Amino acid sequence: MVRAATLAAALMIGLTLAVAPLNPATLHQPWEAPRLNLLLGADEFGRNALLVLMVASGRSLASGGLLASLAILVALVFAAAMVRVRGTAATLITQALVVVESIPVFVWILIIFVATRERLTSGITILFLIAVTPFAANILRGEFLRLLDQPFIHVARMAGMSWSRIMLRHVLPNASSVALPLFAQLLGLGLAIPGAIGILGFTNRTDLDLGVMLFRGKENVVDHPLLLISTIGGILLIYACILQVTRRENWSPEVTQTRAG
Amino acid sequence: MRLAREAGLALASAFGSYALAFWLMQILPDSAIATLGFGAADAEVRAGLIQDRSLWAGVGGLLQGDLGTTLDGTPVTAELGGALLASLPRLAAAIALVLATIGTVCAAPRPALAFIARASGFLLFVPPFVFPFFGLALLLQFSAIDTPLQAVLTIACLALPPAALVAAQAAGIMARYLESAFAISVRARGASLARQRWLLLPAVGLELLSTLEKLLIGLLTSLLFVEPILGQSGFGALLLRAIRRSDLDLCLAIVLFLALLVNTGRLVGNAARERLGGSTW
Repeated sequence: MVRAATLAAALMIGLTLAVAPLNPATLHQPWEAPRLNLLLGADEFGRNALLVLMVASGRSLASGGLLASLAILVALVFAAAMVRVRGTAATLITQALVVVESIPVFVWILIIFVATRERLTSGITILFLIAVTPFAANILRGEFLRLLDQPFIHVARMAGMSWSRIMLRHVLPNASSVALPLFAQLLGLGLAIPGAIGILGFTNRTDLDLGVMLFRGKENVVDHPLLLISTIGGILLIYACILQVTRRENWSPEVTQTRAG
Repeated sequence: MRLAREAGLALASAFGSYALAFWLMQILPDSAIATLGFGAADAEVRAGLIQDRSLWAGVGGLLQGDLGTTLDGTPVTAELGGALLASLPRLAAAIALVLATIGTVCAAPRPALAFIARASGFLLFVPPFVFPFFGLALLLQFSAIDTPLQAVLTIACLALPPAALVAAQAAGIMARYLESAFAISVRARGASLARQRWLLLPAVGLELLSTLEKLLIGLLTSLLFVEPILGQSGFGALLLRAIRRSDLDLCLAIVLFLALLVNTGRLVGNAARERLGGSTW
């Protein structure tokens, strides 16, 4: 209950910060030193560094969460299709996914980005989905196959339950123990994309995004290491929050198993 | 027969990756951008990208051992060979560090295994370019550019993400095996904890080997960021340069090399998985 409340609060704060306006006007001197009412000091644009970090964390959490959710949804559909179809079609789908999976995700993302020279959200969403779906679908497929071989699924089959109903009522809920850690991993990837694109040399440094902040942190690491350290702190906080949500004991697959069994 | 079939599929997958990269770099900027609703690509970039060459011409060249030329006019084979030679010692040292990590995790006390798994989870969540960022900070702080410290930091940054991956896996596998019937019976016969772990080590290694392609992908991703950020020449720096400049021949050759390497890792992993299927662990 406490964890659910923490999650709800974190999401609310994240979403609020995601849409919060941030006055881009210079309110402080660039790189103003930290003080009591300016805890992390000011960044190179004269913005309150703490506020920038909070807004960037909220936006990155919201966009990364959205990307990861979409990727999981697409991967679930692919994994279900791979489990359902058999024979040549199954081999073809598996091979098609292996083709994409043979190259590191970041290499695909950077190649597609350079090929399209596009920084629109839709573009990033599409390239993220193309790059991560095979990897996610393969993991989910393995879990689906393991679950479909469990006794409670056999019982459900013998009770006359249809394939789609078994998938929706029993396999999908029980696959959450794999899907949720996978979600966390994909969220991490989603956070990293803007920074990776920055390394390629296409970043707008005023963007409020943790990936871009990491990149700026690297550029100013000697004179202003606090920027990089505080951004890592922001990522650590997001990870701690995600970890709480995706811990296996927070989900009770036994409930559906008992119902079926 | 089965091995030949799997090798054939791996080769087909590698060429599939090559063809997909070719399509992305040549066709997408031309017409698909408009279809997908993206903004128009820069005309000059497109002109540079769309070279007068078909996929089959590229494959034909490959079969004759010709990987093409870079935008600078250098043969791709020479560029790739030089970069690989530069990266090889670093990769070997990083792999040695990863193996040392496996040994350390397997020898760690049981309560530490859960902590290792959690800490590794965070290291895997953090973007892979953060480690070289810290490495760069240390280099600049101690004015250690062009010193042995730079080489040491490069290797450490390179090894960290794959080491985190295998540490998380090894911790989970060892914790599971310590509860297995085999471990319990060995314990009942009076084997010390160190002896139990020693006996379990080959099985842990085999299970880790079954995910070799993931380890290779982690290592290559790390290489992509570490070398350019820490100013080292090599395969990673070449790959980033090829992508940044949309150097078609170089990009395609690198994609093919990566795909061949990862698919070889997958073949080894499949063989290990098959071996595991018949084991009693």
